[in-house]
Amino acid sequence: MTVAPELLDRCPALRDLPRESKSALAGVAREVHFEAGERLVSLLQPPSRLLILLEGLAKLVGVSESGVERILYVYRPCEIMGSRILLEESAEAPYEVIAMERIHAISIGKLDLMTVARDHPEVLVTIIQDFSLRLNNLTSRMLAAMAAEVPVRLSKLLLDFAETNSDPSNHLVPLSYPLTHESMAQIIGASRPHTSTVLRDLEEMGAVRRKSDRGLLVSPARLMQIVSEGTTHPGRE
Amino acid sequence: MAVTSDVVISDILSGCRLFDTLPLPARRALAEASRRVEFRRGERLISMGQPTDRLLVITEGLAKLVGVSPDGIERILYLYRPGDVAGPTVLLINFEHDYEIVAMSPVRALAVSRRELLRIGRTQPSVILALAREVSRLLAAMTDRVLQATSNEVPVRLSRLLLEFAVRPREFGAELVPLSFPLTHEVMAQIVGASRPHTSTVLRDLESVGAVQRRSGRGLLVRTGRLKDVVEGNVALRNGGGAGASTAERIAVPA
Repeated sequence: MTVAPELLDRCPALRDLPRESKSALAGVAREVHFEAGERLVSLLQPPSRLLILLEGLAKLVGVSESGVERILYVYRPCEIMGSRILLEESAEAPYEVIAMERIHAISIGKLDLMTVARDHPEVLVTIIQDFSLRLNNLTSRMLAAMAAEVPVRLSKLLLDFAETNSDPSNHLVPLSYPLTHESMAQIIGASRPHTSTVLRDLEEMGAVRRKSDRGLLVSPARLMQIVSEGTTHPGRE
Repeated sequence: MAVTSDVVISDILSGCRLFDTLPLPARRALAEASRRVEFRRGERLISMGQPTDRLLVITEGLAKLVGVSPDGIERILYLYRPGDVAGPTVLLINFEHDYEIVAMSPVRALAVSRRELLRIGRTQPSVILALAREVSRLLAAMTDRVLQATSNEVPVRLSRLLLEFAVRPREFGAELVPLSFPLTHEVMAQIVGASRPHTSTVLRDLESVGAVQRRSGRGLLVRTGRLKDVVEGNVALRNGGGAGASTAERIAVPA
Protein backbone atom coordinates (compact mmCIF):
# COMPACT_ATOMS: atom_id res chain seq x y z
CA MET A 1 0.00 0.00 0.00
CA THR A 2 2.93 2.35 0.53
CA VAL A 3 4.75 4.19 -2.25
CA ALA A 4 8.43 4.32 -3.15
CA PRO A 5 10.10 7.44 -1.69
CA GLU A 6 11.40 8.16 -5.21
CA LEU A 7 7.82 8.87 -6.28
CA LEU A 8 7.84 11.90 -3.98
CA ASP A 9 10.96 13.17 -5.74
CA ARG A 10 8.81 14.13 -8.69
CA CYS A 11 7.80 17.22 -6.74
CA PRO A 12 10.61 19.68 -5.96
CA ALA A 13 9.24 20.65 -2.54
CA LEU A 14 9.01 17.02 -1.41
CA ARG A 15 12.36 16.17 -2.98
CA ASP A 16 14.03 18.63 -0.61
CA LEU A 17 12.67 16.91 2.50
CA PRO A 18 15.19 15.04 4.69
CA ARG A 19 15.45 11.37 3.72
CA GLU A 20 13.86 10.13 6.97
CA SER A 21 10.88 12.45 6.57
CA LYS A 22 10.40 11.38 2.98
CA SER A 23 10.51 7.69 3.95
CA ALA A 24 8.01 8.24 6.77
CA LEU A 25 5.63 10.04 4.40
CA ALA A 26 6.03 7.41 1.69
CA GLY A 27 5.34 4.74 4.31
CA VAL A 28 1.80 5.98 4.91
CA ALA A 29 1.00 7.10 1.36
CA ARG A 30 -0.69 5.22 -1.44
CA GLU A 31 -1.16 5.87 -5.12
CA VAL A 32 -4.62 6.75 -6.38
CA HIS A 33 -6.07 7.42 -9.83
CA PHE A 34 -9.15 9.34 -10.91
CA GLU A 35 -10.82 9.57 -14.29
CA ALA A 36 -11.85 12.91 -15.84
CA GLY A 37 -15.01 14.15 -14.17
CA GLU A 38 -14.54 12.05 -11.03
CA ARG A 39 -14.72 13.80 -7.64
CA LEU A 40 -11.56 13.91 -5.55
CA VAL A 41 -13.35 15.79 -2.77
CA SER A 42 -17.15 15.70 -2.67
CA LEU A 43 -19.47 18.65 -2.13
CA LEU A 44 -20.38 19.34 1.52
CA GLN A 45 -18.16 16.52 2.79
CA PRO A 46 -15.00 17.44 4.71
CA PRO A 47 -11.98 15.77 3.12
CA SER A 48 -10.49 12.86 5.03
CA ARG A 49 -7.16 12.77 3.24
CA LEU A 50 -4.52 14.93 1.69
CA LEU A 51 -3.89 14.41 -2.02
CA ILE A 52 -0.61 15.32 -3.70
CA LEU A 53 -1.20 15.68 -7.42
CA LEU A 54 1.43 13.96 -9.59
CA GLU A 55 -0.21 14.09 -13.03
CA GLY A 56 -3.28 15.81 -14.45
CA LEU A 57 -5.39 18.83 -13.55
CA ALA A 58 -8.19 19.17 -10.99
CA LYS A 59 -10.57 22.05 -10.37
CA LEU A 60 -11.86 23.44 -7.09
CA VAL A 61 -15.49 24.28 -7.82
CA GLY A 62 -17.64 26.43 -5.58
CA VAL A 63 -21.40 26.90 -5.65
CA SER A 64 -22.82 30.17 -4.27
CA GLU A 65 -26.11 30.46 -2.37
CA SER A 66 -27.73 31.58 -5.60
CA GLY A 67 -26.54 28.42 -7.36
CA VAL A 68 -23.81 30.05 -9.47
CA GLU A 69 -20.93 27.63 -10.08
CA ARG A 70 -17.39 28.95 -10.32
CA ILE A 71 -13.96 27.38 -10.74
CA LEU A 72 -12.05 28.96 -7.89
CA TYR A 73 -8.72 27.27 -8.43
CA VAL A 74 -7.05 24.82 -10.80
CA TYR A 75 -4.67 22.39 -9.13
CA ARG A 76 -1.59 21.46 -11.13
CA PRO A 77 0.99 18.68 -10.63
CA CYS A 78 2.82 18.81 -7.29
CA GLU A 79 0.12 20.84 -5.60
CA ILE A 80 -1.49 19.58 -2.41
CA MET A 81 -5.26 19.28 -2.06
CA GLY A 82 -7.46 18.83 1.01
CA SER A 83 -6.30 21.69 3.25
CA ARG A 84 -9.52 21.45 5.23
CA ILE A 85 -8.42 18.18 6.87
CA LEU A 86 -6.22 20.34 9.08
CA LEU A 87 -9.15 22.33 10.43
CA GLU A 88 -10.36 21.04 13.77
CA GLU A 89 -13.98 21.71 12.99
CA SER A 90 -14.31 21.18 9.27
CA ALA A 91 -17.82 22.35 8.62
CA GLU A 92 -19.70 21.52 5.45
CA ALA A 93 -18.40 23.69 2.64
CA PRO A 94 -19.96 24.34 -0.77
CA TYR A 95 -16.88 23.17 -2.63
CA GLU A 96 -15.79 20.08 -4.51
CA VAL A 97 -12.62 19.08 -6.31
CA ILE A 98 -13.15 17.41 -9.69
CA ALA A 99 -10.62 15.81 -12.04
CA MET A 100 -10.40 17.79 -15.30
CA GLU A 101 -8.46 14.94 -16.89
CA ARG A 102 -7.03 11.61 -15.76
CA ILE A 103 -5.32 12.12 -12.41
CA HIS A 104 -2.45 10.29 -10.76
CA ALA A 105 -1.99 11.32 -7.12
CA ILE A 106 -0.63 10.30 -3.75
CA SER A 107 -3.13 9.96 -0.92
CA ILE A 108 -2.31 10.38 2.78
CA GLY A 109 -4.98 9.86 5.43
CA LYS A 110 -5.52 12.48 8.13
CA LEU A 111 -4.44 10.30 11.06
CA ASP A 112 -1.36 9.05 9.22
CA LEU A 113 -0.40 12.61 8.34
CA MET A 114 -0.70 13.71 11.97
CA THR A 115 1.44 10.76 13.10
CA VAL A 116 4.17 11.57 10.58
CA ALA A 117 3.99 15.30 11.36
CA ARG A 118 4.56 14.67 15.05
CA ASP A 119 7.95 13.09 14.36
CA HIS A 120 8.78 15.05 11.21
CA PRO A 121 7.40 18.59 11.51
CA GLU A 122 9.31 19.59 8.36
CA VAL A 123 6.64 17.69 6.41
CA LEU A 124 4.08 20.16 7.74
CA VAL A 125 6.40 23.06 6.92
CA THR A 126 6.41 21.90 3.28
CA ILE A 127 2.62 21.63 3.32
CA ILE A 128 2.28 25.11 4.86
CA GLN A 129 4.52 26.54 2.14
CA ASP A 130 2.31 25.00 -0.56
CA PHE A 131 -0.86 26.32 1.10
CA SER A 132 0.73 29.76 1.56
CA LEU A 133 1.47 30.00 -2.16
CA ARG A 134 -2.13 29.09 -2.92
CA LEU A 135 -3.35 31.65 -0.40
CA ASN A 136 -1.30 34.26 -2.24
CA ASN A 137 -2.70 33.12 -5.59
CA LEU A 138 -6.28 33.30 -4.28
CA THR A 139 -5.61 36.76 -2.84
CA SER A 140 -4.50 37.87 -6.32
CA ARG A 141 -7.67 36.40 -7.79
CA MET A 142 -9.71 38.19 -5.19
CA LEU A 143 -8.13 41.51 -6.13
CA ALA A 144 -8.59 40.81 -9.84
CA ALA A 145 -12.24 39.81 -9.34
CA MET A 146 -12.95 43.01 -7.43
CA ALA A 147 -10.89 45.56 -9.31
CA ALA A 148 -10.04 44.42 -12.83
CA GLU A 149 -12.11 44.12 -15.98
CA VAL A 150 -12.69 40.80 -17.73
CA PRO A 151 -9.91 41.23 -20.37
CA VAL A 152 -7.37 41.87 -17.61
CA ARG A 153 -8.63 38.92 -15.54
CA LEU A 154 -8.41 36.69 -18.60
CA SER A 155 -4.93 37.97 -19.48
CA LYS A 156 -3.74 37.23 -15.93
CA LEU A 157 -5.16 33.71 -16.16
CA LEU A 158 -3.47 33.06 -19.51
CA LEU A 159 -0.17 34.39 -18.15
CA ASP A 160 -0.52 32.09 -15.17
CA PHE A 161 -0.93 29.11 -17.49
CA ALA A 162 1.57 30.13 -20.21
CA GLU A 163 4.23 27.49 -20.89
CA THR A 164 7.27 28.91 -19.14
CA ASN A 165 9.72 26.33 -20.48
CA SER A 166 9.21 27.38 -24.08
CA ASP A 167 11.97 29.08 -26.02
CA PRO A 168 11.84 32.66 -24.71
CA SER A 169 12.62 33.99 -28.18
CA ASN A 170 9.27 32.60 -29.34
CA HIS A 171 6.68 35.32 -29.48
CA LEU A 172 3.78 32.92 -29.01
CA VAL A 173 3.85 30.00 -26.56
CA PRO A 174 1.26 27.34 -25.76
CA LEU A 175 -0.48 26.91 -22.42
CA SER A 176 1.08 24.40 -20.07
CA TYR A 177 -2.36 22.83 -19.66
CA PRO A 178 -5.29 23.14 -22.04
CA LEU A 179 -8.22 25.25 -20.79
CA THR A 180 -11.59 25.32 -22.52
CA HIS A 181 -13.46 28.60 -22.98
CA GLU A 182 -15.99 27.28 -20.46
CA SER A 183 -13.26 26.66 -17.86
CA MET A 184 -11.71 30.07 -18.45
CA ALA A 185 -15.13 31.70 -18.05
CA GLN A 186 -15.81 29.90 -14.77
CA ILE A 187 -12.39 30.84 -13.41
CA ILE A 188 -12.53 34.56 -14.18
CA GLY A 189 -16.21 34.95 -13.29
CA ALA A 190 -17.59 35.83 -16.72
CA SER A 191 -20.04 34.22 -19.13
CA ARG A 192 -18.72 31.76 -21.72
CA PRO A 193 -19.81 33.86 -24.75
CA HIS A 194 -18.23 37.00 -23.25
CA THR A 195 -15.00 35.10 -22.60
CA SER A 196 -14.88 34.00 -26.24
CA THR A 197 -15.47 37.59 -27.36
CA VAL A 198 -12.65 38.83 -25.15
CA LEU A 199 -10.34 36.10 -26.51
CA ARG A 200 -11.12 37.37 -30.01
CA ASP A 201 -10.31 40.92 -28.88
CA LEU A 202 -7.04 39.71 -27.37
CA GLU A 203 -6.20 38.03 -30.69
CA GLU A 204 -6.77 41.31 -32.53
CA MET A 205 -4.33 42.92 -30.12
CA GLY A 206 -1.70 40.26 -30.80
CA ALA A 207 -1.90 38.77 -27.31
CA VAL A 208 -3.21 35.32 -28.33
CA ARG A 209 -3.67 33.13 -31.39
CA ARG A 210 -6.80 31.03 -31.04
CA LYS A 211 -6.24 28.37 -33.68
CA SER A 212 -2.98 26.45 -34.07
CA ASP A 213 -1.84 22.83 -34.09
CA ARG A 214 -0.70 23.39 -30.47
CA GLY A 215 -4.04 24.77 -29.32
CA LEU A 216 -4.35 28.31 -27.96
CA LEU A 217 -1.08 30.25 -28.18
CA VAL A 218 -0.34 33.30 -26.03
CA SER A 219 2.16 36.13 -26.11
CA PRO A 220 3.39 36.53 -22.52
CA ALA A 221 4.95 39.93 -23.26
CA ARG A 222 1.74 41.32 -24.75
CA LEU A 223 -0.41 39.83 -21.98
CA MET A 224 1.93 41.31 -19.39
CA GLN A 225 1.52 44.71 -21.03
CA ILE A 226 -2.29 44.43 -20.86
CA VAL A 227 -2.18 43.39 -17.21
CA SER A 228 0.22 46.15 -16.23
CA GLU A 229 -1.82 48.80 -18.04
CA GLY A 230 -4.96 47.43 -16.40
CA THR A 231 -7.06 47.86 -19.53
CA THR A 232 -7.47 46.85 -23.15
CA HIS A 233 -9.00 50.20 -24.02
CA PRO A 234 -7.83 51.16 -27.52
CA GLY A 235 -6.73 54.58 -26.23
CA ARG A 236 -4.20 52.89 -23.98
CA GLU A 237 -2.74 50.66 -26.70
CA MET B 1 11.59 42.47 24.63
CA ALA B 2 10.71 38.79 25.16
CA VAL B 3 7.27 38.08 26.54
CA THR B 4 7.69 35.78 29.50
CA SER B 5 5.46 36.81 32.37
CA ASP B 6 2.55 34.55 33.25
CA VAL B 7 0.16 37.47 32.83
CA VAL B 8 1.31 38.02 29.26
CA ILE B 9 1.27 34.30 28.50
CA SER B 10 -2.30 34.27 29.73
CA ASP B 11 -3.02 37.25 27.44
CA ILE B 12 -1.59 35.36 24.50
CA LEU B 13 -3.80 32.40 25.22
CA SER B 14 -7.03 34.28 25.40
CA GLY B 15 -8.85 34.49 22.12
CA CYS B 16 -5.98 33.56 19.83
CA ARG B 17 -6.68 30.56 17.64
CA LEU B 18 -3.00 29.98 16.94
CA PHE B 19 -2.20 29.41 20.59
CA ASP B 20 -5.32 28.26 22.37
CA THR B 21 -5.05 24.55 21.53
CA LEU B 22 -1.33 24.27 22.23
CA PRO B 23 0.03 22.38 25.22
CA LEU B 24 1.52 24.61 27.91
CA PRO B 25 5.21 23.90 27.12
CA ALA B 26 4.64 24.95 23.50
CA ARG B 27 2.80 28.10 24.56
CA ARG B 28 5.54 28.96 27.01
CA ALA B 29 8.25 28.43 24.37
CA LEU B 30 6.38 30.65 21.93
CA ALA B 31 5.80 33.32 24.55
CA GLU B 32 9.51 33.36 25.34
CA ALA B 33 10.31 33.84 21.67
CA SER B 34 7.68 36.56 21.16
CA ARG B 35 8.33 40.26 21.05
CA ARG B 36 5.74 42.94 21.67
CA VAL B 37 5.32 45.30 18.74
CA GLU B 38 3.06 48.31 18.26
CA PHE B 39 1.94 50.13 15.14
CA ARG B 40 0.35 53.52 14.79
CA ARG B 41 -2.74 53.98 12.64
CA GLY B 42 -1.69 53.95 8.97
CA GLU B 43 1.62 52.23 9.68
CA ARG B 44 2.52 49.14 7.68
CA LEU B 45 2.68 45.79 9.50
CA ILE B 46 3.91 44.16 6.29
CA SER B 47 5.11 46.21 3.33
CA MET B 48 4.37 45.58 -0.31
CA GLY B 49 7.16 43.95 -2.31
CA GLN B 50 9.14 42.97 0.76
CA PRO B 51 9.62 39.50 2.20
CA THR B 52 8.47 39.03 5.76
CA ASP B 53 10.40 36.96 8.24
CA ARG B 54 8.03 37.15 11.17
CA LEU B 55 4.54 36.19 12.15
CA LEU B 56 2.38 38.81 13.87
CA VAL B 57 -0.32 37.74 16.31
CA ILE B 58 -2.67 40.69 16.66
CA THR B 59 -3.74 41.30 20.24
CA GLU B 60 -5.42 44.72 19.86
CA GLY B 61 -6.75 46.84 17.00
CA LEU B 62 -7.71 46.33 13.38
CA ALA B 63 -5.49 45.98 10.31
CA LYS B 64 -6.33 45.64 6.63
CA LEU B 65 -4.80 43.52 3.88
CA VAL B 66 -4.73 45.92 0.95
CA GLY B 67 -4.17 45.21 -2.72
CA VAL B 68 -3.84 47.77 -5.49
CA SER B 69 -4.85 46.83 -9.04
CA PRO B 70 -2.67 47.89 -12.01
CA ASP B 71 -5.04 50.79 -12.68
CA GLY B 72 -4.73 52.01 -9.10
CA ILE B 73 -7.95 50.72 -7.56
CA GLU B 74 -7.35 49.91 -3.90
CA ARG B 75 -9.30 47.07 -2.33
CA ILE B 76 -9.39 45.68 1.18
CA LEU B 77 -9.01 41.95 0.77
CA TYR B 78 -9.15 40.93 4.41
CA LEU B 79 -9.58 42.55 7.82
CA TYR B 80 -7.41 41.31 10.66
CA ARG B 81 -8.95 41.40 14.12
CA PRO B 82 -7.54 40.56 17.56
CA GLY B 83 -6.65 36.87 17.61
CA ASP B 84 -5.83 36.84 13.89
CA VAL B 85 -2.39 36.02 12.58
CA ALA B 86 -0.84 38.31 9.98
CA GLY B 87 2.00 37.07 7.78
CA PRO B 88 1.04 33.42 7.22
CA THR B 89 3.52 33.29 4.33
CA VAL B 90 6.33 33.63 6.89
CA LEU B 91 7.68 30.19 5.98
CA LEU B 92 8.20 31.18 2.34
CA ILE B 93 11.76 32.43 2.15
CA ASN B 94 12.36 35.66 0.20
CA PHE B 95 8.74 35.71 -0.89
CA GLU B 96 7.78 39.21 -2.02
CA HIS B 97 4.22 40.24 -1.29
CA ASP B 98 2.01 41.98 -3.80
CA TYR B 99 -0.03 43.27 -0.88
CA GLU B 100 0.47 45.21 2.29
CA ILE B 101 -1.04 45.04 5.74
CA VAL B 102 -1.81 48.45 7.21
CA ALA B 103 -3.00 49.36 10.71
CA MET B 104 -6.51 50.85 10.68
CA SER B 105 -6.23 51.80 14.35
CA PRO B 106 -3.39 51.56 16.85
CA VAL B 107 -2.38 47.91 16.69
CA ARG B 108 -0.62 45.81 19.27
CA ALA B 109 0.81 42.46 18.26
CA LEU B 110 3.22 39.77 19.23
CA ALA B 111 5.96 39.03 16.70
CA VAL B 112 7.60 35.63 16.32
CA SER B 113 10.43 35.30 13.82
CA ARG B 114 10.61 32.50 11.24
CA ARG B 115 13.85 31.27 12.79
CA GLU B 116 12.24 31.00 16.24
CA LEU B 117 9.12 29.32 14.85
CA LEU B 118 11.19 26.66 13.14
CA ARG B 119 13.46 26.22 16.17
CA ILE B 120 10.50 25.75 18.52
CA GLY B 121 8.71 23.57 15.98
CA ARG B 122 11.54 21.02 16.07
CA THR B 123 10.78 20.16 19.71
CA GLN B 124 7.15 21.31 19.81
CA PRO B 125 5.61 20.13 16.51
CA SER B 126 2.19 21.24 17.74
CA VAL B 127 3.32 24.82 16.99
CA ILE B 128 3.84 24.01 13.31
CA LEU B 129 0.53 22.15 13.24
CA ALA B 130 -1.22 25.19 14.72
CA LEU B 131 0.30 27.40 12.02
CA ALA B 132 -0.78 24.89 9.34
CA ARG B 133 -4.33 25.08 10.71
CA GLU B 134 -4.28 28.87 10.66
CA VAL B 135 -3.09 28.93 7.03
CA SER B 136 -5.81 26.40 6.14
CA ARG B 137 -8.42 28.57 7.84
CA LEU B 138 -7.25 31.64 5.93
CA LEU B 139 -7.25 29.61 2.72
CA ALA B 140 -10.85 28.53 3.35
CA ALA B 141 -11.87 32.14 4.13
CA MET B 142 -10.21 33.51 0.98
CA THR B 143 -11.73 30.73 -1.16
CA ASP B 144 -15.12 31.71 0.18
CA ARG B 145 -14.49 35.40 -0.57
CA VAL B 146 -13.39 34.65 -4.14
CA LEU B 147 -16.60 32.69 -4.67
CA GLN B 148 -18.64 35.59 -3.33
CA ALA B 149 -16.75 38.17 -5.40
CA THR B 150 -17.21 36.24 -8.63
CA SER B 151 -20.78 35.09 -8.21
CA ASN B 152 -22.79 37.40 -5.92
CA GLU B 153 -24.09 40.92 -6.31
CA VAL B 154 -23.24 43.83 -4.01
CA PRO B 155 -26.23 43.54 -1.58
CA VAL B 156 -25.41 39.89 -0.90
CA ARG B 157 -21.70 40.63 -0.47
CA LEU B 158 -22.46 43.51 1.88
CA SER B 159 -24.95 41.42 3.87
CA ARG B 160 -22.35 38.67 4.28
CA LEU B 161 -19.80 41.22 5.47
CA LEU B 162 -22.22 42.64 8.04
CA LEU B 163 -23.08 39.12 9.21
CA GLU B 164 -19.38 38.39 9.62
CA PHE B 165 -18.90 41.48 11.77
CA ALA B 166 -22.17 41.33 13.72
CA VAL B 167 -22.11 40.63 17.43
CA ARG B 168 -23.43 37.06 17.81
CA PRO B 169 -23.44 36.50 14.01
CA ARG B 170 -24.70 32.92 14.10
CA GLU B 171 -27.85 33.46 16.11
CA PHE B 172 -29.75 34.82 13.09
CA GLY B 173 -32.22 36.59 15.35
CA ALA B 174 -34.76 39.37 14.90
CA GLU B 175 -33.03 41.60 17.45
CA LEU B 176 -30.93 44.55 16.26
CA VAL B 177 -27.29 44.09 17.31
CA PRO B 178 -24.20 46.28 16.78
CA LEU B 179 -21.08 45.33 14.84
CA SER B 180 -18.17 43.96 16.83
CA PHE B 181 -15.93 46.55 15.14
CA PRO B 182 -17.09 49.81 13.55
CA LEU B 183 -16.81 49.86 9.75
CA THR B 184 -17.11 53.07 7.75
CA HIS B 185 -19.03 53.09 4.44
CA GLU B 186 -15.68 53.62 2.71
CA VAL B 187 -14.16 50.53 4.32
CA MET B 188 -17.25 48.44 3.55
CA ALA B 189 -17.09 49.61 -0.08
CA GLN B 190 -13.43 48.63 -0.41
CA ILE B 191 -14.12 45.20 1.06
CA VAL B 192 -17.15 44.32 -1.07
CA GLY B 193 -15.67 45.79 -4.25
CA ALA B 194 -18.20 48.55 -4.84
CA SER B 195 -18.17 52.34 -4.93
CA ARG B 196 -18.76 54.23 -1.67
CA PRO B 197 -21.98 55.90 -2.91
CA HIS B 198 -23.41 52.59 -4.11
CA THR B 199 -22.54 50.95 -0.79
CA SER B 200 -24.47 53.70 1.02
CA THR B 201 -27.43 53.17 -1.35
CA VAL B 202 -27.43 49.44 -0.67
CA LEU B 203 -27.26 50.11 3.09
CA ARG B 204 -30.36 52.29 2.71
CA ASP B 205 -32.08 49.47 0.81
CA LEU B 206 -31.09 47.01 3.53
CA GLU B 207 -32.63 49.38 6.07
CA SER B 208 -35.87 49.51 4.07
CA VAL B 209 -36.24 45.72 4.40
CA GLY B 210 -35.39 45.80 8.11
CA ALA B 211 -31.94 44.24 7.84
CA VAL B 212 -30.04 47.21 9.28
CA GLN B 213 -30.63 50.44 11.22
CA ARG B 214 -28.18 53.08 10.10
CA ARG B 215 -28.45 55.63 12.90
CA SER B 216 -28.37 54.70 16.56
CA GLY B 217 -26.42 55.52 19.66
CA ARG B 218 -24.42 52.34 19.06
CA GLY B 219 -23.56 53.02 15.40
CA LEU B 220 -24.84 50.75 12.65
CA LEU B 221 -27.16 48.02 13.95
CA VAL B 222 -27.94 44.84 12.05
CA ARG B 223 -30.63 42.19 12.22
CA THR B 224 -28.79 38.96 11.49
CA GLY B 225 -31.88 36.90 10.67
CA ARG B 226 -32.92 39.42 8.02
CA LEU B 227 -29.40 39.66 6.59
CA LYS B 228 -29.41 35.89 6.23
CA ASP B 229 -32.67 36.20 4.26
CA VAL B 230 -30.93 38.63 1.88
CA VAL B 231 -27.93 36.31 1.48
CA GLU B 232 -30.23 33.39 0.70
CA GLY B 233 -32.20 35.40 -1.86
CA ASN B 234 -35.43 35.46 0.15
CA VAL B 235 -35.62 39.26 0.06
CA ALA B 236 -35.63 41.40 -3.07
CA LEU B 237 -33.85 44.76 -2.92
CA ARG B 238 -34.32 47.77 -5.16
CA ASN B 239 -30.61 48.04 -6.11
CA GLY B 240 -29.62 44.52 -6.98
CA GLY B 241 -26.22 45.57 -8.29
CA GLY B 242 -27.38 45.16 -11.87
CA ALA B 243 -28.53 47.97 -14.12
CA GLY B 244 -28.36 50.57 -11.38
CA ALA B 245 -24.82 49.70 -10.40
CA SER B 246 -21.85 51.88 -11.24
CA THR B 247 -18.92 50.73 -13.35
CA ALA B 248 -17.09 49.56 -10.24
CA GLU B 249 -20.01 47.36 -9.25
CA ARG B 250 -20.38 45.92 -12.71
CA ILE B 251 -16.71 45.05 -12.72
CA ALA B 252 -17.07 43.18 -9.47
CA VAL B 253 -20.11 41.25 -10.65
CA PRO B 254 -19.64 38.57 -13.32
CA ALA B 255 -20.63 39.48 -16.85
